[in-house]
Amino acid sequence: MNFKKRILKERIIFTIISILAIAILISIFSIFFIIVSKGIRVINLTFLTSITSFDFKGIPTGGIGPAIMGTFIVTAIGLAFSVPIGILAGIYLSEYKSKGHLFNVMRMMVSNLAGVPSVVHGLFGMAVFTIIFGFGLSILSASMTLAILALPIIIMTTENAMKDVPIDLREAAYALGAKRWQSAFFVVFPVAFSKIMTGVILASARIAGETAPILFTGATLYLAHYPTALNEQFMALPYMIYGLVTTSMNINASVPFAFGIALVLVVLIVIMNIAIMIVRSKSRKSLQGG
Amino acid sequence: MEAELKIEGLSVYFGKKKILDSISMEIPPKSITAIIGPSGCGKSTFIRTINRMNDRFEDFHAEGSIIFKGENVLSKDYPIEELRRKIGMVFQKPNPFPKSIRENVLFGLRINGIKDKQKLETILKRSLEAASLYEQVKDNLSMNAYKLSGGQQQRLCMARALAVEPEILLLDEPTSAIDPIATKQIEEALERISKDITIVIVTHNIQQAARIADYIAFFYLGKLVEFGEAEKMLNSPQQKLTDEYLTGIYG
Repeated sequence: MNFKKRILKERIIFTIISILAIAILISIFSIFFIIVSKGIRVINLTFLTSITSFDFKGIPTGGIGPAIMGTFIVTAIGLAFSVPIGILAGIYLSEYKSKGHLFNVMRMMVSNLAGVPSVVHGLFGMAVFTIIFGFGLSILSASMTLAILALPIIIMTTENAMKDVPIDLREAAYALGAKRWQSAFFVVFPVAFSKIMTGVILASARIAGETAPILFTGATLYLAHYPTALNEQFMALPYMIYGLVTTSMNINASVPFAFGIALVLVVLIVIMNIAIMIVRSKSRKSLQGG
Repeated sequence: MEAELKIEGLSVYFGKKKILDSISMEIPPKSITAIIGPSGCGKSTFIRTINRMNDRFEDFHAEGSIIFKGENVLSKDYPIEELRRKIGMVFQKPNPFPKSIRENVLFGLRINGIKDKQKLETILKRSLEAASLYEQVKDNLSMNAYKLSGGQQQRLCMARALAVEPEILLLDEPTSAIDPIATKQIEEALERISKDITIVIVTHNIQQAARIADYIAFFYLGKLVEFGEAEKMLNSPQQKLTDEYLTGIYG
C-alpha cells in the first residue's frame, strides 16, 4: 500500500516537472521560430551589406550594413577597454585581496554594478563620457559605456575562474620561489583561461544586444554611410529595431525589416554561444591531458 | 660537521592553538632526516615552517629560530622567494602544472629569467635523471604532465624541485598516495640525491624511515621526543614513547 502510494507520488511529481519543462522549451522554441520565420524573408546579401534608405511611403529598403558595422565596432572597442581591466581586476580580487574589509567593499561594488539597469549605465555614460570627458555623441562614448556594462561580468567570471584553480598549483609555484604575480600569471591564469574566455564571450553577447546604454551616448537612428571615425555617431542593430517599430514613418511596413535585424542579432549571439561551447570543451580536454 | 639547519626553540601557533612546542634540533648536511610520528603531531607543520609555506595563513605565528647559513629564515626581512629556491619542497599529493613535462621541470628556472637554451636542456635532463624519470619520458618531453601516472607525476615534482638546485629538499609524505613500486623508485632516487643535498622527509611509515633515513626525529603532540641516528634509534630508543610508537602500540 505504502509502496504504491510512493510510486503514485513519484509519477505525479514527474508529470508536473515534465509539463513545466516542456512549456519552457515550447516558449523558447517559439521565440526562435517567430524570429526566424518572420526575419528570414527579408534577409539576403543586399540586406546584410547595403546602406539603409526609405522610399517615399516610408518603407525601409536597402540594408543594414552600417548598423551591423556599428554594433561590431562598439562591441569590439568596448571589449578592448573592458577585457584587460576586467581580467586584471578579477586577478587582483582572487590572488591579492581575497579577504578583509576592502575586499568585501570592492566585491559588493562589483556585484552592485552588475545589477544596475542598463539605462542607468546609459545616463552615466552620457554624463561622464559625452559631457565631462567631452567625447560628445560618438562611437567612443558608447563604447566606453558598454565597457562599463561588461566590466562586472568579466571581473566576476575571472575572479571565480581563478579561485576554482586548486591551491596545490599555487603552492607548487611558491615552493619553487615564484612571486605572487608569477604564480598568478604563469600558473593560475593559464588554467583559468578558458573559463575567463566564456565570461568574455558572455559579456560581448550582452553588450552587442544592449540598447539603453548607447541611446544617450552616440547611437543614431539613421546614417547614410558606414561609420568612418570614432567621434561620429553610429547605427546599431538593437537601436535600429527600436527605432523602426516606434518612430519610423511607416511602422507597419517596417516590422518585417525589424524582424530581419532581430534574426541577425540572434544569429550573432548563437554564434558566440557556440564559441563558448568550443572553448569549454577544448579546455576540458587540455586539463585531462589532451 | 656543521649543521645545515639549526632549529632553536621553535614554537608554532595557529591562532591560539599551539601546534609545535619549542622544537630544537640540528639537521646534518647531505643526509636523509626522517620526521616520524602519529597523525596530527605537527610533522607537516614543522617542515612547512622551514620554507615558510605557512605564511599565507593569517593566524599562523612562529617563535624561535631556524638558522640556515647563519641567518634566521623566520625573520620578517628574510627574502622568502630566495629561501624557497634554496629549500625546495615536494608535496603529499603530486601537483604538477597542467603543462608539458619540459615546462614543469623548467618552471623554476624560467621564472628566474634563465633563457640559455643549452643550459636549460642540460638541467632538464639532469633533473629528470636524478628523479629516475628520464628514461621513461625522454621521447615525450612535450607531453602534458597530467598524462603521467601518479608515481611518475610525483617524480616529476621531484625533478621540478631539483631543477632550481636547492641545498635542502623537504618532502611531505611524498609516497603516501603512491603504489609500492613507485615508492621504491622514489626512495632509491632520494638515497642518491642525498649525497649532494640535505633531505628532510616526513613519513608516517616507519619501514620507510628505516629503509632510507640516516637520522630520525620522532614527534609527538607537537613536541620533539627523540632525535638521533636512525639505526640507534630504531634498535634502542631512549624514550619510552618512542619505543611504544615503534612497536606499534599507537599511531
